[in-house]
Amino acid sequence: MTRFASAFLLLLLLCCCKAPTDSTQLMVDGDLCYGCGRCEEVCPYGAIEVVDGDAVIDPTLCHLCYRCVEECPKGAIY
Amino acid sequence: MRALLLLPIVAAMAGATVFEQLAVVDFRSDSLSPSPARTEIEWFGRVAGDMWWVELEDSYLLSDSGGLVPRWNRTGNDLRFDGGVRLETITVSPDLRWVSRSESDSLLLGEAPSSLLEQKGYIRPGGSIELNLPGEVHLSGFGRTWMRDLSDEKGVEAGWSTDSFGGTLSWTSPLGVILDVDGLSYSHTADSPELDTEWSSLQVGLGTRPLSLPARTQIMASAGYRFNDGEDYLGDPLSNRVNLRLRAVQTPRPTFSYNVTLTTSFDNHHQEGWTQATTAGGVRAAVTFDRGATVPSNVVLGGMYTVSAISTARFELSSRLHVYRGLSVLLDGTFRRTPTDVPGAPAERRSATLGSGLEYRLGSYVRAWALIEHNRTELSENEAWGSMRGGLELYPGVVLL
Repeated sequence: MTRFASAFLLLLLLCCCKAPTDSTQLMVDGDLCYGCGRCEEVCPYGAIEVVDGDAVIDPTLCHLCYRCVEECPKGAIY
Repeated sequence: MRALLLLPIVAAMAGATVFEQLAVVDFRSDSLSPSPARTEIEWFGRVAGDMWWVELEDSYLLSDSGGLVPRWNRTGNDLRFDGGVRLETITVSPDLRWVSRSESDSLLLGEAPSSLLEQKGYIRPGGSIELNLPGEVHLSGFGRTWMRDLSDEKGVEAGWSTDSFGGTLSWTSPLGVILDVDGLSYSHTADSPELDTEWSSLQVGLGTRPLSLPARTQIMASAGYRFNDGEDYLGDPLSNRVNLRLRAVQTPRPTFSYNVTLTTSFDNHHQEGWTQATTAGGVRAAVTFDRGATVPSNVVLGGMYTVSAISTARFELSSRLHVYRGLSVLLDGTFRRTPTDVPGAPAERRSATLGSGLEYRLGSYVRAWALIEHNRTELSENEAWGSMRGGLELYPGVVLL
């Protein structure tokens, strides 16, 4: 239980801090993604395809427009 | 696809051939525009024997792009074929995807400023092979080719195609530690050399099976390093990435569980050193009650916060409350903050959706639902609108052939 509480505290800390980040590749959370294909529909660069139930982002085509981030119904892309 | 997720797994009887199918109609409409917004019709069929299977799935999407908040939908058909033969430890599985747009839509390709191309669809044949070896060793490989129907503003074919192949080696040690090695390669070629790009990645990862801790707690952890080779759309080399993930689940009671997930990643920009790339934390709690009813009732609460080059926040509530003989009341609410390119919206748009509706289930054979929702979002001034969504799923059951 102590370990679990520690993990929860760590989560709260992460939520409160905004560390400097420099991400040029989007992340897909495979546990949240259920392959609905909305990201594939809205990507104007043809950079996403759902393969075997998971969204796969082509980092050479992605222009980081974040439209998939906005449309994903599960918040699985960030 | 969703149909694959919804379909109950059928254990084929020894020596028998079985057929099953699923049909789904899903619609969504709102008060932003008089047009119907989005309707999707899906059909999934599967014929399977002891050592083989053939699956066919067709999805027709009818949609528009109107509205105060653009919908960016695409009308067209998506046909998928998947088959396979299992011979002792080897499984060979060819597949095909054929996407055709009834109205061509724009696709932006190449380095910025991108070339505007009209896309009419693509055909993607492929296949995979899996091999299960003694000692919990699993090997798999795949190859796919996209043949795209793309042309520029003058109608000249772009001749753009993509080849992809990859493979996975997975080993589960007796101690419960899982070693994964994944390789992936993409190659885009076109008549215009400026559209040619290539990238590949190799990821080495270590993870654990769920480890049981006291107080009905389970914990899972994984770490991986991904080597990337290629350039992004600006021509800069892709960075390598370290991913770390921790997930803990506690079930204090059989009817109540909650989990916490933490994920973080760091990028190695080669000569320019390391930077923190993404961080995400999420919590989710679920209560299930009335478990003996035809349809169990539940309430789910969840939240997630992410930081990368952007930040997102999300809180959601959903519940199904069973009322009488398969009839349930649905309640849902979602609050989000995401980056946006919707005209008139701030760089990070906050939105909220609250809805309620009804669902009817007849065993696993029929599911029908409808929800009416109230939406609110930040634009140049706060906007509110109503929307409605619903659907029908039909699963006639398994037929022995």
